[in-house]
Amino acid sequence: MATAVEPHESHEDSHDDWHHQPFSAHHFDNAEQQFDSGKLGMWLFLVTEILFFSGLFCAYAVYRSTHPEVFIYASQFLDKYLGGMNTIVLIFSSLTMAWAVRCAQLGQRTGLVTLLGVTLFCAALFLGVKTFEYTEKAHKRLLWSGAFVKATDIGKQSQVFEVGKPLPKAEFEDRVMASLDTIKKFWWFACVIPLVLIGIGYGSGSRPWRTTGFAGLISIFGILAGIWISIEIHHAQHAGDHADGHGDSHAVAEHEGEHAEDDHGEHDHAQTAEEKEAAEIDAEALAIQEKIGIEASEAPDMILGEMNNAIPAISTPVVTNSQADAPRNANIFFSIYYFMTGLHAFHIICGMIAITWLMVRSVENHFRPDYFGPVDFVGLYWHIVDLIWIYLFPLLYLIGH
Amino acid sequence: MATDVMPAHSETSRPEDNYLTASKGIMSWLVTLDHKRIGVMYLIGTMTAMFLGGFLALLLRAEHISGTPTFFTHDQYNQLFTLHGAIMVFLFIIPSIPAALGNFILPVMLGAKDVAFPRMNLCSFYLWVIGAIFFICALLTTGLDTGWTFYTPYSTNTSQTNVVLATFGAFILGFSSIFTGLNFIVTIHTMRPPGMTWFRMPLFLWSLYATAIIQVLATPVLGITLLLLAAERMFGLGIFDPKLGGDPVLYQHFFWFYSHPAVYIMILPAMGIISELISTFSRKPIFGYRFIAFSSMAIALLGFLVWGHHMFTSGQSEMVTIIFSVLTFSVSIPSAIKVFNWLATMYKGSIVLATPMCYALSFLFLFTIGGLTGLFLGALATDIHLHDTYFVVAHFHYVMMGGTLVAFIGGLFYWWPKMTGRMYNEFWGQISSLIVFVAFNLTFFPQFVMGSRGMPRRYYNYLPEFQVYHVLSTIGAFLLGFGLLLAAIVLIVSLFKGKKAPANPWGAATLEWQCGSPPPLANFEKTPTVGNPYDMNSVVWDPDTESFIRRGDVPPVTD
Ligand code: HEM
Ligand SMILES: [Cu+2]
Repeated sequence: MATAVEPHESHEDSHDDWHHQPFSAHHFDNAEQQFDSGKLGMWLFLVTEILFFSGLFCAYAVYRSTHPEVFIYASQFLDKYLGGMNTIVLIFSSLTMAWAVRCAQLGQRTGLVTLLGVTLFCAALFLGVKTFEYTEKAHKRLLWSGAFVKATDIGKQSQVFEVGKPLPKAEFEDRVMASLDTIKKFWWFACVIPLVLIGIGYGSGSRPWRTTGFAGLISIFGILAGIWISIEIHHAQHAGDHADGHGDSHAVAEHEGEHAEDDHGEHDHAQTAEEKEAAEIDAEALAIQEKIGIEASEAPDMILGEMNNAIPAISTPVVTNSQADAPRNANIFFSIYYFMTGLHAFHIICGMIAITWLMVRSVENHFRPDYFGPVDFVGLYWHIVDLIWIYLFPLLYLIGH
Repeated sequence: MATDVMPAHSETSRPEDNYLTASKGIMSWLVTLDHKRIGVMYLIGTMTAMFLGGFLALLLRAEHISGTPTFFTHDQYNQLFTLHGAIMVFLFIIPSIPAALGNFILPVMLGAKDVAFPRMNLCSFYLWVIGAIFFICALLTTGLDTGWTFYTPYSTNTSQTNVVLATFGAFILGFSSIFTGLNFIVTIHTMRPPGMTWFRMPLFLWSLYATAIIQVLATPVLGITLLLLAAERMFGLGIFDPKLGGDPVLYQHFFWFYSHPAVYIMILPAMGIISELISTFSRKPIFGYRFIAFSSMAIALLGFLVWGHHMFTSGQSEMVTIIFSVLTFSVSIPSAIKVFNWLATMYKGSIVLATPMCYALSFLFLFTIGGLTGLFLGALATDIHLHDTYFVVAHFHYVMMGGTLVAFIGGLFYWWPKMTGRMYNEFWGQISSLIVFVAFNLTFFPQFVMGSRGMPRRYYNYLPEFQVYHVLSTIGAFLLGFGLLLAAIVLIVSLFKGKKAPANPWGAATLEWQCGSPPPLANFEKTPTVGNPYDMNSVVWDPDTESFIRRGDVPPVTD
């Protein structure tokens, strides 16, 4: 970074109008120096963020190289369609964010506020999809290593989290839907707080309160939309299995396998019971066929062989330690999955807070062509958060397919 | 980022005001954005931590007055050394020089009005406070007995103490350290006044810059490691637990990837202080300026490549061990370059044995021993024998205490007149440095001997053959405590009794001596002229003000 120190004759002279502008910090000499400092600071912060994640990527690399079978086996439980959709959402939000920065530079307030709102919505959408994914996994008992072990069995004196026996197969899908249904039913509760904020905002004529309230609403709607879309995608995948005859990719076969065993309730609204039964039998037959096919063609491959064995059992809580066909310690994959994506989601939340703050300030008309640093810096942060996801997605979702 | 509204420094302050008198009341300190006040608050905080840690150390040594259990049970002993280590490392030595002295001196030395992000600076201080509170809570509830290294699986599966609390404490302290480092890098990059080129920066700034790089690059890795550790303990993540498919040595790799560079966070700023002290009190420009500057950077970068030397005995592959051993040797080169340059600076200088210089000379001696014994540990054959013995304990105390702490005290004496506006009592200052030097060697030299004869570290009792060394060491420790207390008393008494300090009592040519003592709120009334920081001829003694002043400003003198 080049230094931005402009030589100036004497200190007094440099006390020009710049120092009397609203957001100029007095220990800087001029706007350029202030901007450059902020930018360098932000870049350094991003370096620390990358290093923060790099520890996890390192752990990932270590375990993937020592337990390749675990990764290939366990990653098939992740839904790459949902992951892919989230990737697209984030990339799109990066676009809107970059565009927002441009608006700030050009002093286009309406554009800035709108684009920030869209970015916020995308972020929330992402979290909504993640909520669905986590809920689904939790109910399928796809959890981290320690979740199935009694603390005392591994010599621990204590462990906050203890999970009992896995649910019977049939129940978990219902449970996911039930808990998500609850969210669907009672979502308006969550809107109370932002609505109160908006109310206060109008009551007291305070724009910041109002803006915060609206940002809150956008976030809630985003999250709900995410959950709703995930459910639709989930259904569509399954419905598609029945509709297009029998898919020919492995992935479809897997999903059908999944259906064959535990389609309970979720199709009822779309199909009659009869149809459903027929479809189920159909799917089951197909799954078995597929399985045989795969085995025939790829059996020599040890790892894939294990995978194939696992297919019929795919929707049962396979990864409990007792499961015979799961590779040993398969849950290590989920330990890493939850930790990495969880930390990433936490960064998304921080980003949402920062974007809300930007929205408040842009509604207040703080940003001008000669002062837009904060938008730029949050933008950089947002891109790095996206970038991390762009690495996480293939590394977690797209292996072994 | 703290780039939005930055409240102006009060423009209404009177010219005779300095940063201490510019505003009054406790709140004017607690929410200050002035780097000098934040530095002072850090100083008070870290010194408190040091005396707490030192008190625990004396308890530890007292236990060793005899080889049988004396005052404590083995559990209590484990807790004592853990808290001593953790407090000294995380609360004292890492923040001490950069965050306390550096915060105060860096902008003034640079000729800037403040650090780039004053709010982040304040935030860093409060993070330190919160981290400290977590530590104290762990201390008051269950204690902590994992050692400052939190090795798994003991820390995750076995320990009965409140590991999670302490882990979060260290995590927060890590962020405090990152914020300081980030602030310093940006300040040095963007806030240099006209004329302050990279190679006109005093070497203390170079060393803080190198330190800041390590802080920013290494600390996040510690952060994630501690999070993983906490998750492991609370939820059974399994990453570090072999029973669940994890790997405890991975923890050690992660931990030392931070903690080895962290030892350079500790020593680099100390080396920077020594460069200033040696040059000023030899009344000679520093010898080999660029070598010292670049060796700081070299240490910072090489420091990232040697962490594996802490795991020579962990069963890692032989190839790796050999590579790490070779790399470890290579770090000693830049360290040695510095030592030679300091010696060359003193050569034919007119040395003034003021208190700071006495401490600087102690540093030279002690750091050299500490560094050289590091080579014994870096050599594979000897490390197998010496690993986890008192030899290691003595090694790192020679570098951390004999090096960093001694340099810190030297720097404190040196900049004390600038910070407080008072001169301390020179005689008692010198006595304190003498006591510290002698007592230090008495404490730690016997530990080399018993370590090489097989006395393991972290034991609360020992075989009779080690009695004599332990007793010597314990006596030394109490003397050392007394010496440090004396130094503290000398400084504190000066606040009340000391005579007023002139702007430049030592005849140094760096910028901080050009503003008043204590500095005014915005550091400089007018932007200072930047010259060669080690041009001792640019200042002359002025008997009227009893201070050194810049040559251009004095009426022509005949010399
Ligand atoms: C000349 C450069 C140095 C070399 C070659 C060196 C080498 C080593 C080696 C090989 C060890 C591992 C010993 C073992 O556990 O068997 C070690 C431990 C240690 N060193 Fe150094 N060192 C150097 C400088 C420093 C500095 C500057 C500091 C601190 C300011 C330091 C602090 C420590 C600490 C704290 C430990 C022990 C950590 C523990 O196990 O608790 N070293 N050193
Ligand atoms: Cu080391």
